[in-house]
Amino acid sequence: MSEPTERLVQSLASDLAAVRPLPPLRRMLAGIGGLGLVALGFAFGLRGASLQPFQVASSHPAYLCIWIGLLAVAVGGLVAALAGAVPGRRVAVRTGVALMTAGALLAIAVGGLLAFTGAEAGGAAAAPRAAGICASLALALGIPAAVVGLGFVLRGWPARPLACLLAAAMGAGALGACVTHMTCVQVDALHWMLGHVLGPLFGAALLALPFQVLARSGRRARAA
Amino acid sequence: MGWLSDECEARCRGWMIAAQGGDGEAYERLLRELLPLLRRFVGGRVPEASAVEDVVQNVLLSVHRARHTYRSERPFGPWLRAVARNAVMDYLRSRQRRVLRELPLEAAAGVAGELALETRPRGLSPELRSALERLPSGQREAVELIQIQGLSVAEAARRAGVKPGALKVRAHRGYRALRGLLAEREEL
Repeated sequence: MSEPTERLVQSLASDLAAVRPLPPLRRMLAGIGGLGLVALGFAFGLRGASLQPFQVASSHPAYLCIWIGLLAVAVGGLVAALAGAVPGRRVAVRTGVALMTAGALLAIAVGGLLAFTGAEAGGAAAAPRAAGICASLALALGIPAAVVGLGFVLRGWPARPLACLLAAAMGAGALGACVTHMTCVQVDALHWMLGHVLGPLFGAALLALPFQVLARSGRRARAA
Repeated sequence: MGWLSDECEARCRGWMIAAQGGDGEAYERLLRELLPLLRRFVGGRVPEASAVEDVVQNVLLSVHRARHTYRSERPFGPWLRAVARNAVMDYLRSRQRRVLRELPLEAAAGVAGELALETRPRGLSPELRSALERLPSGQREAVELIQIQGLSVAEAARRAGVKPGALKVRAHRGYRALRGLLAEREEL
C-alpha cells in the first residue's frame, strides 16, 4: 500500500463516527404515499367532497388517462429520485424513469389528444385564472411530499443530484396534481392540461432548481 | 457482482454494518480488503497510471462519506461498485473539463489534438519535434509539461517554478506559435 493511502485508511478508521443508515426505499415511498392521502383528505375538505369528479371519470376517457398518467409520473419520479440517491439502485432508477416517461406521455399526449378531440374541448371556458388556481393548489398539496423526497435526496449520495432533485420535485408535483385532478369539477381540456398537468409539473421542476445549491453545499460540507 | 466472491461479500457486509455502528477496527479491515479490488477497478478505467492511486483514495473517501446510504439487507458489492464508478466518472469528467479549460479553442482543435495523437503510440513526429524545438524555452516547457507529460496547469506550474496564470499564458503562446510553424511547413 502506498504511504498516502495507508495514512488515509488509518485516518478514516480512527475518525470513524457511527451513522444512521437511510431508511429503506419502500418505507420512504409508503410515507410519501401517506402524505398523498393526507393531501387528498385536505383537498376534499377544502373543495367539498363531491361525486362529480367520479362521474366525470366514468364518462371521459381523457380524464382517466390524465389521472393515471399523473399517478405514474408521481410514483415513477419519486422511485427514480429516492433510488438515485442511493448507490447501486440502478434497476430501480431505470424502472422509475420508465414509469415517469410513460406517465408523462399518457397524461400529456394521450390524455391531451383525447381531451382536445372529445367533448371536453368545447366545455367550460378555459379561464387562465382557474387553471392557475388548480396548478397552485397542486403545487401546495405536493409540498409535504416534495420536502420528504428532496430531503432524502439531499441526505443521500446521488450520482446526478440535479436529475434526482428534478425527479423528486416533479413526482411530488404530480402527486399534488393527481389529488387536484380528483377533486376538480371543471370539464375542460385546456384547463386539465394547463392547471392539472403542465402547470404543476413545470412549476415543481422550477422549484427544484434552488435545491441544487443546497445539494452542492451539503456535499462540500461532508467533503470538508 | 463478479469482483467480490461470496466469502468476501459476506465479510465486507459484516464489516460495513459494524462500521456504520462506529467500529473503527472493522472499518480499517474493510478498507484494506477493498484496496486491491479498487486498484484493479480504477486501473482499468483511468487512462493515466499516475492518477490511479489518487482516484483510489477518492473512492475510499466516497465510501466513507456515503457509508450511511448502505442498507444491511442489500448486497454490498453493487453498492461499492456504484460508489467506485461514480468516483471514477467524477475524475474523468473533471479531467475532461481541465483539458478543455486549459486549452484555447483553436489549440484544442488543432495542435493539442495532433500532440495527443502523436505522443501516445509512437512518440512525436519529426515535424512536431522540430517545431517544438524552435519554440522559446518557456513556451516549450509549458507545452511539454501540459500536453506531453499530461500534468494539470497547477502541477505544471509548480514544476516550472512559475504561477499557474503565467504558465497558461506561455502554453497559449506556445500553441499559437506551434500552429504557425506547422502551417508554415505545410505551405512549403
